[in-house]
Amino acid sequence: MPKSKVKDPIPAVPPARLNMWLFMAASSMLFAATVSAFIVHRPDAESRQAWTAFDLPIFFLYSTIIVVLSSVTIFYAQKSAKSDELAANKNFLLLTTVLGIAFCVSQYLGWQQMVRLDLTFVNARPEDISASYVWVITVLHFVHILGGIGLLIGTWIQAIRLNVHKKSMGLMTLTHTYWHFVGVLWIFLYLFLYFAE
Amino acid sequence: MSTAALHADSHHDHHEHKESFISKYVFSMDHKMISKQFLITGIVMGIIGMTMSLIFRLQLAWPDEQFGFMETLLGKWAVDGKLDPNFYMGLVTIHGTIMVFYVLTAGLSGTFSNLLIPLQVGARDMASPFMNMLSYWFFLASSITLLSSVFIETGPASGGWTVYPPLSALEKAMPGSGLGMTLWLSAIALFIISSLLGGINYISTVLNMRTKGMSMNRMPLTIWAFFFTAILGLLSFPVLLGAALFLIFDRSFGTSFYLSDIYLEGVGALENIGGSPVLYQHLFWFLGHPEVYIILMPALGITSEVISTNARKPIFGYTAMVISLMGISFLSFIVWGHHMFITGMNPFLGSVFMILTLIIAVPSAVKAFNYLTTLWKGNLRFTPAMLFSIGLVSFFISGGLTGIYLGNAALDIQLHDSYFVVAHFHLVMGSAAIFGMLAGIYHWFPKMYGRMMNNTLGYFHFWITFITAYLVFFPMHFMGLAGVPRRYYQFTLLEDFNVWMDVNKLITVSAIVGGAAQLLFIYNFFYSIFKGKKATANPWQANSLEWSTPVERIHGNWPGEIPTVYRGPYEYSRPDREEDFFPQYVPDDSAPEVLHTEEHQVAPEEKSPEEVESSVFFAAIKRVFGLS
Amino acid sequence: MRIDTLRIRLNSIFKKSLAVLSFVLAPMMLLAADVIEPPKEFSIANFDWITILSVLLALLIILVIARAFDIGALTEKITGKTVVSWNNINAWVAIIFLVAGLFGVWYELKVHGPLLMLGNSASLHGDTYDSMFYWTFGFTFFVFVVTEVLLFYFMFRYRYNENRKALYYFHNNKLEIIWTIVPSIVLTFLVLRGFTTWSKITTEIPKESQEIEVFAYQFGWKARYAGEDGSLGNQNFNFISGSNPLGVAEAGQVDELVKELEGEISKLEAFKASADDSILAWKGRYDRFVATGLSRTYPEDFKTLKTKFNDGVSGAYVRTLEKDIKRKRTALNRIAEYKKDDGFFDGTANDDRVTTEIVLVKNKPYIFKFRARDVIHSAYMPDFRVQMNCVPGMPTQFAFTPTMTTTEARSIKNKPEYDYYLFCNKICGAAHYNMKIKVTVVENEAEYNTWLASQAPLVAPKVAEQTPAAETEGIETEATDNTVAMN
Repeated sequence: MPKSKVKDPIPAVPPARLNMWLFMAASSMLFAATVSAFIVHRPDAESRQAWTAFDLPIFFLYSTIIVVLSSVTIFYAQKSAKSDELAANKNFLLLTTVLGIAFCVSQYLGWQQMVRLDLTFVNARPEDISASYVWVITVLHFVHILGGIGLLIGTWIQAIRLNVHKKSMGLMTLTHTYWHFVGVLWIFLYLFLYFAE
Repeated sequence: MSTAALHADSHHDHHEHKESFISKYVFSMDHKMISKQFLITGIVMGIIGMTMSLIFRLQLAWPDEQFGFMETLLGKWAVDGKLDPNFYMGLVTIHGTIMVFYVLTAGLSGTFSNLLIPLQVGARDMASPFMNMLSYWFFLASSITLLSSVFIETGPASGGWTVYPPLSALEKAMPGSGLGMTLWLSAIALFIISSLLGGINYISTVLNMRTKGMSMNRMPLTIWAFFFTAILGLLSFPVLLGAALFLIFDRSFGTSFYLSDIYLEGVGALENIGGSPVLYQHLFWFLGHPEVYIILMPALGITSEVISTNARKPIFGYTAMVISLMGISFLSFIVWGHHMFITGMNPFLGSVFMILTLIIAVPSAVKAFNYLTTLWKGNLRFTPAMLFSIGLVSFFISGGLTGIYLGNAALDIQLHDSYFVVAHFHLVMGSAAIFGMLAGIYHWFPKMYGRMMNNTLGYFHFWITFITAYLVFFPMHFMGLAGVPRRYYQFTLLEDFNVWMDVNKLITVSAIVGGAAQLLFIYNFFYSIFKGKKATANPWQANSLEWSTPVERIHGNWPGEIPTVYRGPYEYSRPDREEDFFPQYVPDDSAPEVLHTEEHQVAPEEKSPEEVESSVFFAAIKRVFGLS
Repeated sequence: MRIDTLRIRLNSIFKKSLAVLSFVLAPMMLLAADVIEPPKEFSIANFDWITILSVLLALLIILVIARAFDIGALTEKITGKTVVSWNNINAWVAIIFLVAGLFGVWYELKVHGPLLMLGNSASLHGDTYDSMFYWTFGFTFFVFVVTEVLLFYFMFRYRYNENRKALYYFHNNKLEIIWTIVPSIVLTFLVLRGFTTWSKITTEIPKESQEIEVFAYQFGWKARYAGEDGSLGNQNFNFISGSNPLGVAEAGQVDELVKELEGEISKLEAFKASADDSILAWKGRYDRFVATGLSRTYPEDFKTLKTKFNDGVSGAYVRTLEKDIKRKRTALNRIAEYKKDDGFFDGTANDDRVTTEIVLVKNKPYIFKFRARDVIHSAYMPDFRVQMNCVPGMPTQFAFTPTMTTTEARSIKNKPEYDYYLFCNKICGAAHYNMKIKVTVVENEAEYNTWLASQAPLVAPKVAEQTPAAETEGIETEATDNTVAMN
């Protein structure tokens, strides 16, 4: 073993960030699969009177608004971290986390609304396969959001420990990217379900 | 602060204090150790999968015979030494699952991607060693889950490795669809996580952590193959996860994604309406077809490397090889429908899938011809690895050609689910990929264990395996063409199939001999780990970067700086060099990177073919893909 | 004598190793206690010769090679010369393999070629199919022979020679373009031909085709022919019952089913009402089993009782009952919905014939409508070049015209017993391998009509106006039918 430190080439992109992008590609494929199953299955089920279109719960719209808001706050969190405004960064992170939790609550209320309308996951009526799809898609997305909230809280803790600043943006950038991903994903899913249902 | 640099530092720190047994051999984060873990788990799974196939082959050859040892081995599944039909289905299913996922996906790609990617692109380790370790442990957990399903009362999953619902969704339809199926699904979910963790790492390492001078067009074809394989896995495994999720919901929660209009004997009419069983097949084969190439492409990459090294000749048409890999990867995503021609799919859709499928034959043909031309006028050293690679080319041709029948929707009407299909995929995907894996093991064994494997045993291993593999799978084409369906427990009940009894016996005897030949390999492998001849750093006089590492496999791969790369990996037998190889990492300013002039390409006694520099076609393709 | 001692010794070694093995595997065995039975008395006669031979063969090979290699390596070390040139040996073996392999291919084509389902197809589109096959075979076989010969010839011709240097030849655009374009042209030809063949088979359906419903279930087939009215009646999976396996919309049998279902529901309701008592009773029996030691004398009974008791206590018993009731109610509701629809039970089904054999007339176009009731099956008739999956909830079809009678096929194949069959070709459960139905092709309409007349329609035609003897007979058959249904 050499005694002196050897200089290795530095990767162009931090590996963690590249891994995150690849993970996002993989999970996009999961949603692509469920969404295309929805598209392929629909005409087939409709021809057998096993599909009813229904209005999405209004809470899903509220969730969408919350997601848009949280995208703005995470953008400012990233911006403030880049310019070393540590207090603002902490506050924006906290705000995003709160908005994330608000999103979860709103989703929960939306699901409750669906249950009240008898649009349960296990179809109460045979013609509610559409509801099953909405459940699968929203819950899968919810799992992604939970991961995002975990990341946000982790970053926030690091921010409190003064580990997030101009020269240490790794975790912050990851969180920023991921939160935008789940946000955009939700907007896409909402629009898709809104127009498809 | 870059994480990679941090890693590199921490590796050096590590070496100052001795690693514990646990951190070195068990929860290791070193890519070389992880690759060995994958390999040995893969070999163990391979032995299990092969033994299962021998058991059901015995049943097919001697359906009326009683095998005493089977009762000892299988208990209630072989009362009086006669295999139970349900367990036969279970064996078929688990054999398929083990071979496809556990041996040829994780065992092959997991082993060699892990071993070779950092070594051949010049990196200290994978982009994320921790994820790499997790990938192995998820794989092991998955293997154990799958194997445990063989020991439960209702038996393992037994709906075929494709587990089509409703058969796999209804517990009452067959015993294997109960707990066995649940375990199968959990095993596959764990497997998907493992392969995603691995795949993310491979792509990330290839894209991001190449050493100085290692541009994309200087990467060995192995790396290209692993890279495309990882991309295929990354994009297709999530879809399988989706399919499996829907199946789990149908099984355990009572949703109707796949179920409709079902009446079960002893239960009555079920409530499910409107589900689509064909939807599962679409989702499954969207993974299933790329999966075929996930299995095959690493083997092709290994073959390219081994053939070029041992023919002492540059691989013919490097760019064409890369483009055909790329073409195969892309096309593999849009041809899944050829598994479903006779599911009652719209005939027009069938035509579209047929056209797309047959296009794949073109890049495959290019690959086969390029291998042949690489051998032409080479100086072939028959190491066991070389023999296995040539065997792969042979299988790839004979198995690939029958794909032209099966990809043709019209011909598929008769051949679908017959023994013809069994013969086809066992040759082109099973045997070929296994041969690629064995070639890789023989070739890179010195890099894994610092010792050489015994060549003589290797030769016997190769010839016995090669001959028996053809004896097993070649006659199956004829059975399939005569309309013998696959997955039949016995053929004696249909009189017309009696003529195939002697063929069935031949196949089984060949399979047993071929299986016994693998004992030679197992013995050779484990013996050589401890007692093999000590290897030198570059025993095959090869060009690529991994042979510049010392024989002692150290953490961080290179003791000093990572070497710089000066040229492509296939500069063998250059006329301007004394030796017949010219490693990538040897600097020589006087030597041009590639000899482009024609007189160097063709021996003097040969007529010089006209140079086709006006090849606008190739230049255009190169520019489009950014290869030049 | 010596062989006997050897046998005994082998026996004891085997037993000992089994004991060690079972000790090691004890935890696993405990888990799988009801799967793996204790090993029976080991007897070498239980092994058949092939296993013994092959294992011996394998061991011998290992030994011989290891010995030979040791000696070879030793001599090489002593003399300093290469005694065995493995390169040459491998090259020669390659040539031998090539010749033997080509001979094997020829042998297979000669011996098994005539057995293939090619050339004398029994359906109209079969000839198109066969010609498509021959074209593909011609191209692929040519490529197969040429490339394999080249591969092994190169192995031989260019084996290692230390005085030679390989040709530095890394690409040739002309060559590469040639072997991109030539396969493309050949494949274009095959694709176009395949496309026309496929479209012809799947979309050109004569209007006058007769419909036959082919129905798949675990594990068998049934066919349904239209009766005198020439059309098949409606069907639905909710109507399926013991006496109506295809779920045909025939009012009488569906009413029977409704009664049956109602009876079952009230029975299940009664079970549910008395669930607490049953659980108490099971508990009593369970305690008695444990107290008297019966649990050890009758382990099987005890196991069943234990499961029942556990299900009762955990509430699984009641939940299962509720699920069953709900399922049966849904079926009843659905039947009621269909009943409301007058057009559904229009009586066309009454004269349908459900048969256990398929009889077709030569040169008459047919369209098979496939249905499955439980899992996916696949109807496979290799003689006719016909295959189509039968999917529950998704009707599929295949249209074809038989052109060869069973008698003709028998004389062509020279097998007086030969029959056409329709097999199942999609894995569907334990008896998948034995799921078939006979297909007979007859010469003319008259033979077919005689056969059809011999098949009983779903509802016996009204015979009340005829002789009183026939009437009583009719009632009797109906009565027996009912008892069958009740059973």
